[in-house]
Amino acid sequence: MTSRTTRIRAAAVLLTATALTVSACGGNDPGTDEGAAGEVEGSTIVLTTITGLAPQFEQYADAYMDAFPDRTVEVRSSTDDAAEYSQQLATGRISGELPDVFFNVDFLADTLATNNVTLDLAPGIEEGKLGDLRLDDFLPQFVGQYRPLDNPEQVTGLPVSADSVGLFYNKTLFDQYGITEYPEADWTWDDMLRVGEQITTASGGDVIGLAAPLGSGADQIVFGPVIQAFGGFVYDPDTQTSGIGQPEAIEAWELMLSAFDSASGPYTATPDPTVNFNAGNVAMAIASRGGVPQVQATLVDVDWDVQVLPTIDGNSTAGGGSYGLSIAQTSTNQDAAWAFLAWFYDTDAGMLVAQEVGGAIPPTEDGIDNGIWRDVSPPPANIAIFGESARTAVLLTQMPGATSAVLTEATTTATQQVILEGRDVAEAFQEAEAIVNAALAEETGE
Amino acid sequence: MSTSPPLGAQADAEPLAVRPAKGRPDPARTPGRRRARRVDALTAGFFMTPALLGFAVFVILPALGGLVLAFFDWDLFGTPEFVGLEHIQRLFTDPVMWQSLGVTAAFVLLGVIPTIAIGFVLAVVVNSNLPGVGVFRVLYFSPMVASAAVAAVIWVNLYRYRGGLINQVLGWLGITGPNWLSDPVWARPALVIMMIWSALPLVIILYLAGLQRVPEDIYSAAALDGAGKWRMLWSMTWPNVRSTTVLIAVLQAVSFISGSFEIALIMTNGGPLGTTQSLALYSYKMAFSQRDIGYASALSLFQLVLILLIVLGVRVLVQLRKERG
Amino acid sequence: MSKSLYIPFRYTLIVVCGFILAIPLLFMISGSLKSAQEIVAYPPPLLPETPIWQNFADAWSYLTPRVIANSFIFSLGVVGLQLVVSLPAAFALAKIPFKWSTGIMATLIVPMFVPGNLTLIPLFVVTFQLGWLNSFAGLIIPMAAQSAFAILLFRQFFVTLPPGLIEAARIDGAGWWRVFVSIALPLARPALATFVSISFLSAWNMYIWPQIVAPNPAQRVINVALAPLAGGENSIISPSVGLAGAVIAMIPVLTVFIVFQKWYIKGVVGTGLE
Repeated sequence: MTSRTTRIRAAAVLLTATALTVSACGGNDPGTDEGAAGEVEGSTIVLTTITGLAPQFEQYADAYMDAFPDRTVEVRSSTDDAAEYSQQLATGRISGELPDVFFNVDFLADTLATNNVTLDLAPGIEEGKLGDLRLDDFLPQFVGQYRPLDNPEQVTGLPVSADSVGLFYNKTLFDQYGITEYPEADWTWDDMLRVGEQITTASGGDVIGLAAPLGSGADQIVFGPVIQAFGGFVYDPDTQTSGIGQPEAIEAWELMLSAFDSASGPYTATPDPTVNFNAGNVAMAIASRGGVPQVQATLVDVDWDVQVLPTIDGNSTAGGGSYGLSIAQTSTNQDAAWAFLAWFYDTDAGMLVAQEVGGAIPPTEDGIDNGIWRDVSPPPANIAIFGESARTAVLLTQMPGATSAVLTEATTTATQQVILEGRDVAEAFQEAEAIVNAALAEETGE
Repeated sequence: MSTSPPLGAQADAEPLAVRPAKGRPDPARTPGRRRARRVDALTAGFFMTPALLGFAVFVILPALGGLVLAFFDWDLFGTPEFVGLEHIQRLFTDPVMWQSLGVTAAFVLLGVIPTIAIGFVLAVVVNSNLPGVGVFRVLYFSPMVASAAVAAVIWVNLYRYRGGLINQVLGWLGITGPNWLSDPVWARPALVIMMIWSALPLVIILYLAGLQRVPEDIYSAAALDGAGKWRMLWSMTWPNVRSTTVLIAVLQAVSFISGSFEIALIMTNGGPLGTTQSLALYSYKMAFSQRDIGYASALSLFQLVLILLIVLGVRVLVQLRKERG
Repeated sequence: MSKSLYIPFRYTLIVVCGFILAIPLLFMISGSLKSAQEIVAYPPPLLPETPIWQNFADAWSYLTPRVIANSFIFSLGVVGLQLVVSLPAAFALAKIPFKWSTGIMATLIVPMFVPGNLTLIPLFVVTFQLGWLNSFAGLIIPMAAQSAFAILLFRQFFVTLPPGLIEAARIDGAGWWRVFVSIALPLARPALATFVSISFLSAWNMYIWPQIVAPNPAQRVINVALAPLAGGENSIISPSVGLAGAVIAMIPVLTVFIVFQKWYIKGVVGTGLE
């Protein structure tokens, strides 16, 4: 009997030890990993970004090191998978080896801020660490994405590009099927859906008239503004509830869902890389400005352009948002990190390179009006529309914790229920709303 | 032929248990043997220590650490908070969990046996030293060489509704193929086919190694009896690789239960309507897109307990049958 | 089937099945030579109009001798260490009679069912506590310790060694170690070849572990170095360059297969179909 109790005791000790190890390391330990200002000259900082952005950030870093030969920026690329990216930040935090500057994004921003991973940049900017640039110079709604829900006076990330979505259209395909009506600034959603269906029909299904606006059902950058244009809301921070099942939202869903099997062809459960504007078989697509360089590289010998998104009841439906750059609280080279950001956001330095290489739109009033991003050689001839829609864009709603992932999952499921099972739109999205609200209640009730 | 049992089969009868070697008196009976037994145990311990030490520190400890988180609330960045049985209770009221459990069961039922059967036949096919075959044999390993992410993207293209290779081929035969990955009926079989494809190289390699140990003389003996080729395959080759088959079955069960969720993540993201969301994928999404590590751990813990119960149940049944028989 | 038809039939079967299995690989190779336009075009062309070899040059520019050396150190380290610890353990489990062997087997198998993504962070914590971050020790040892597959594979092989062989040696007074080294190991060549191929491949293809444990340039391995090519929604690099990188990364793995396949095919006489 004794050997058995010993064994059980040993197992209990082991379990507790593991739990403690994990909790000790997961928690805040300000004693051991506090950040420091460090030296700027002769410094080396690490900048981590997702793989898709790594090539352009390497070019930014090279330009910076050309300007300041005694400073080093080492660009590390992580992964494009949001889950793996969170894991990497979490492990970096456990070991106190977070990068000095890193990629941040709306659905992570609040969690990173709440857990003191990201540095509050607001005081530093007021102290002049970005030179003459002040927070007021940035477009407020883009900075707003990096204001923690509980501490809105803080700013834990700076937007890189004032990106918004526009309507990309392939004139060559329009002409091929004899459609003379190109998208206009005064188009409504009904116009877009009607012309999209004409093209799909005229091509016998070989060409997609309008890439599914909803995607697989998860594209908040599209459905958010449309719901808002109908007078509804996705998330209301005051009541901390979602309204995706309210009557206004249902109208919006019905409109967006009507694109399937008419203008947009059959539903696909995951984004289909070949039903993509740059594949050349899509006549119209709602896509972000960020995609322009890629389209330029792949759609050669094709006449294409962009137009502002159509309206609903006179309201704009352009969504927008930007990934951001953050500084780690634990960085021991914070001044060097600031120095890099100061160079990067300078309209005459880093932002110039960012506009040239990545086509970025500087997220400041001055940058939008006077930046060289407008001077891109066409196509698209009409690139200036992104300046206007950046100002009016409805940005992705910041939601507490990881509830935006619950939202994504819920709207995707509801979309599939309607398209694949023929479920009633109102029923499906009311259930989705209930799921999101339950998750919100749990998240905010704690 | 029909009267003599396959020769190699008996040497291989109990692949996952150690039997005392034959031709030796029961070691426990004599005092000298008892000492020998202790020496054997010590030697075995000495042989195994490095492996078991590493295994304890880098496999068991992290596994326990992962499972223990089922009793905590943790979002990857904060401090884990003890919540007792909250997540375990949630398991039983979560309809998505039950649906995912069904998907896992379907993956195993649809996937494991075809993988073993196809893998065995293909291994026999390529197990040849005809000149030039070596070059082509490399093709059989290729599904393993491409990373899951690259392979999954390529398969998405093969399955595409319009213009995908599979529907093109079906079109030549006059069949209109379904919208494979977005159809609640077809998405699951489509994924299982892809998973089988990606599992085949490992199975083929293991069977190739297993086939090298099939005693040659059994074939010449059978040839004298005039047994047909397919019959020899079934009645002699197959029983002789039984221990390999057991190993492959275990590995494939692991792979279809928890290993291949990455494929579903990329190809269907668990959809449409959850028809391809296995418990492992559900747990992964819980952990990293909703950052609810605690509940993700509870899901895995539940899966593990279920597997153990099934294995135990089977053992008890086998034992009962033995006792009765 | 008549003898004269048999050999052509067998060849055809081998080639046809092989190509069906390799379709995705062939797509990958063809894609790696496509232009930025062709790789996203619809309908996708089967072959590039003119092969763009520049894709390979672009991908190659992400690799340094250091990266390639690191990848070999890491992969061979994992394979070697696993061989050293797993072979004796597997032999003991297969041939030395003792009380707990079944229990140990169960202990090896059960953790395989705990998903790796869940144990990743605890495993990282253990490695971190040992002070092994950004070192080859931290890169190699925790991965080499994932030895369940190796032990099961070798054990399965040793179990089927004819008992008489070992008995004879034991009666002649040979110790277990000598039996292991001079009788069991030489016979284990097919299992060794199988294991080396599989284990090298899986270590070579690892991405997340090296990424979180040793992101420093000093230990950077091939998949981490090629990550910027993996692309993404708004990447300015063509996906075909990413595929070219994947093809380059594949070469050592295929070489290992080609070299080692001789070991598990040699001596084939008949399997019922010859």
